[in-house]
Amino acid sequence: MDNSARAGSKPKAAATTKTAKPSPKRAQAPKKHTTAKKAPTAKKASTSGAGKPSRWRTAWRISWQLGLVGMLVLGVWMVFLDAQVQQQFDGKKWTLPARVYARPLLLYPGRLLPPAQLQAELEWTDYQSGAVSRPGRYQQQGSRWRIHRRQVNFWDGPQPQAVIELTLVDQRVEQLSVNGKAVPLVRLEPQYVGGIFPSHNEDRELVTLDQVPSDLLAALVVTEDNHFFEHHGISLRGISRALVANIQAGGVVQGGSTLTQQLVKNFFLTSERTLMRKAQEALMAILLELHHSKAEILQAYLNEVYLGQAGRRAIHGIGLASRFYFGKPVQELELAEIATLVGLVKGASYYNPRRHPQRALERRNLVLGLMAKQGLIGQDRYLEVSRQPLRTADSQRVSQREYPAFLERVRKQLQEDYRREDLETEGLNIFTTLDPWIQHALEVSATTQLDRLEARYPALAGKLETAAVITSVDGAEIRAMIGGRQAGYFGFNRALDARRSIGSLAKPVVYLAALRSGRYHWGTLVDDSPVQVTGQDGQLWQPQNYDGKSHGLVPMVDALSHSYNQATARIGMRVGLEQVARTFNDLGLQQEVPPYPSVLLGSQELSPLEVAGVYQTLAARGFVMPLRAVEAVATASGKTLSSYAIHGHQGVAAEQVDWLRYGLEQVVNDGTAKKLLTRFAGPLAGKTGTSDQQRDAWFAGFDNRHLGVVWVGRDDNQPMPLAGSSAALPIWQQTFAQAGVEPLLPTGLPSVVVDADGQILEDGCDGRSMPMPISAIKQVPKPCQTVSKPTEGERKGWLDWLF
Amino acid sequence: MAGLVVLNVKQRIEWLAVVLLLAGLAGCSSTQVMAPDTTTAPAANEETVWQAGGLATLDQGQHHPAVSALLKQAEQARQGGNWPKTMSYLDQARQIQPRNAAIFYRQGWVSWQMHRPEEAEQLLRRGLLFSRDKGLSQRIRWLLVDVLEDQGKQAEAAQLRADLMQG
Repeated sequence: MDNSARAGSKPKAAATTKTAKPSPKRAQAPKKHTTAKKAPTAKKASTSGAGKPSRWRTAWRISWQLGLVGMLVLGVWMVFLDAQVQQQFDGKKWTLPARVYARPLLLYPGRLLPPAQLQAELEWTDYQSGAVSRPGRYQQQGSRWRIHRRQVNFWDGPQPQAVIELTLVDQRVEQLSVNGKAVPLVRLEPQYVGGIFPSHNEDRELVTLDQVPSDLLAALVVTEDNHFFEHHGISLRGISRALVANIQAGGVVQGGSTLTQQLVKNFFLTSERTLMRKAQEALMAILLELHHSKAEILQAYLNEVYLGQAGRRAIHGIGLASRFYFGKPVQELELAEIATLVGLVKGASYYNPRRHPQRALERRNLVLGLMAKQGLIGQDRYLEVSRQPLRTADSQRVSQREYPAFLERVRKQLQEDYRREDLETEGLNIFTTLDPWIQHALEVSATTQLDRLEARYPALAGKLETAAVITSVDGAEIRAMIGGRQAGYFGFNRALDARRSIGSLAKPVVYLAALRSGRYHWGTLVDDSPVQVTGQDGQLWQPQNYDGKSHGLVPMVDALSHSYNQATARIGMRVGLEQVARTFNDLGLQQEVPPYPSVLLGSQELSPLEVAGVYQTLAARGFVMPLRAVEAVATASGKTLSSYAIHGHQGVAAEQVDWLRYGLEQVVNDGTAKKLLTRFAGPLAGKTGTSDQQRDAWFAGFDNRHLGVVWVGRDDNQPMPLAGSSAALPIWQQTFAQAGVEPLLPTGLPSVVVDADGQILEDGCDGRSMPMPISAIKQVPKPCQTVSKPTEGERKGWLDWLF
Repeated sequence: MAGLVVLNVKQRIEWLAVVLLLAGLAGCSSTQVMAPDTTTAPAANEETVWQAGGLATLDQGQHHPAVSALLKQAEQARQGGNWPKTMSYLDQARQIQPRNAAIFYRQGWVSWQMHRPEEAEQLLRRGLLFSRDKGLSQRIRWLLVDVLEDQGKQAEAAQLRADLMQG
């Protein structure tokens, strides 16, 4: 029942009008009832009269029987409705999608933390700059920061609101205290990164009555159902008033539904506008009031009411609406905001304060006017607040957006342990590994670099796509992920589902197989002359180098760092295709790798996530770990349901992977990724990849902390005038520049000196120094002089004797 | 009644095993703060060490303050019998110091307590990879012997034990 009586009423008003028009059947009911009341007299007359039943008596009997049947049907119906009301209202009240959060920012003395990151992460969780007198605010004065953290439900239980103080010196946390007491560690509120919704995408954040400001309750009641605390579910006064108003207006201008009826309609019924549904609504409202207190009904209403749309999410309840429109929990709402929200109840779309600010302002002031009229606020307060401009938080702000690619991975991981319906309805809190700072860096870099490439190659405009995954080197936690150029778009997730040829990203696996075979070391000379291989089907395979040239005999490390195809093909064929395929699987690749020669140069198709899985093992010194997106799952009340930790197995000996890392470092030092050193101090490890006809551009690389795999290509799989180093590497480079690069630490492998022929020399000889595990040194190092250049005058061969 | 007695004995054995291993864990820290080597001490003394409240907890030793705080939470969770939570606190500590062998040692031990010897073995081997402390490496190996035996890898366990005995 909307006391404001304005145009644009909801369907319920129309239904009320229909109810007022009695149907022919119902019009007879009072008559029958009246007859029934007279029945005892008639019966007496009959029994005392002459024996033959009169026509009246027959009618009376039929009416009585019909009435009885009607009462019986009504009774059964009410019992049925009552059971429905009790079961649904007492049992499962709301659909509560799982809420997914990024990792909380951990603060501890010594932690690397650029001030820009701290500020960004605070703003992304709806903290506002200002005096920290209340939660949700932060203040910066030079190197000193004060943050009033809200009460937070972490994975291991709730933490009360607290004032956190810290100093940042040289981008590191120096001093840290909570409520004035020095602490070793504290967590900030994690950023909301999305939900796991049912198909109708209904989202809400539950509130309890004690959390809701009394002004909000008062405003709601005075606007929507002024007699809420007096009626028993339906209000005849309200219906009559609505009827009169509608007749006078010649149409539906006012609804007669109480808050209870509105709740019943939203909660149990469809939006069908029929007399039967209206009757059902009225009966259920009465039953609901019979079983539940006004407070319970009001609380349910506050959590149920639809208040807007945010992308795919339907905003239900005052708690979520408060966050969505104003970026704060309901407890922190101010009067003008309260009135705006209450105004939305009448029509969330029609009075949307962002799309229709003038309408929303008028509606807000009308609510304020009703409050003033009822004496809930003083006239001065009304004037003061109603003069305030309409303010809402930016709907595009980070705290309200979602991360579709990452969310899909979260959902897939959780479906191993949880039923889908539980994820969609039980209000679970999911705590993930996502690092918003790195994610932000990745998204910005991808957009910037693709725009740059398309500006350079106008024919590619709008055609380039990308996908990328960034993980922690040591724990395989997924820190960032994009499934396409538009990171906020729920569409094809290329990070998980686009399987493309990996090109030269396969080479490190071939070289690892070679190193493991015991027949090669990095100084071994390999032949980069043209090669052709006849496959099992008789097809001839003739790989060529990217530059179209052959390079003759080269040390194996150069063949990798410069990504020579011909040399790699020879090495792979000598080592054996089965060995290479097995090495892929040892590195954690789940799928079977076909033993075709073209696999040596990456003809197999993998998703960026699968590639990241393989390179993760390389970055983690041979330790195979599933890439992990979830840290923990907790119930809405804060009880931990499950928590996850590192697990894996040593797929390849650490020593062998350390040995391979030298080759990957040379790719950056001197090979196809050397442009990285123009921006970063090494050592870093990486590999560029370009598939056949330049259809795919890849870069996979890692520093001491993070691994990043980036793919760039076209959805139509057409060639591009781009390579891994020109398309994918710049995205990696820009992302890591913002995330921060930490050079790789030494592997600890001993070094050997190798001559130009690939012979290992004794210590102190001139030659190229490169690492080698002691277990791999199988030949006795040669003394320096045996391979030193002939000195002048020394005669070695018969020609020397002649000339 | 007999069943009850059996149960008590079982509990006592489990309790002693926990004490034995915690005592071993206690001495391992990233900063080489050594605890008495109780892994080979007679069973009678282990309980004494435990009751003395000395070193038989997950949070013993000197660590980075943030790591220490998390180890303390892990120990509280362990005392509450919540092994998954214990593991997660340890994992948070690991994320702060991802190559701290002392944390891997503790994670390996907790995995073993959770009846996941295969996982425990891998975590302990990971710890060995990062350990630069001879004493800690020895402790990890001793635990590894038990974990290997639990998986039926008797020969490997025997070999490792023999190596350890030889010093």
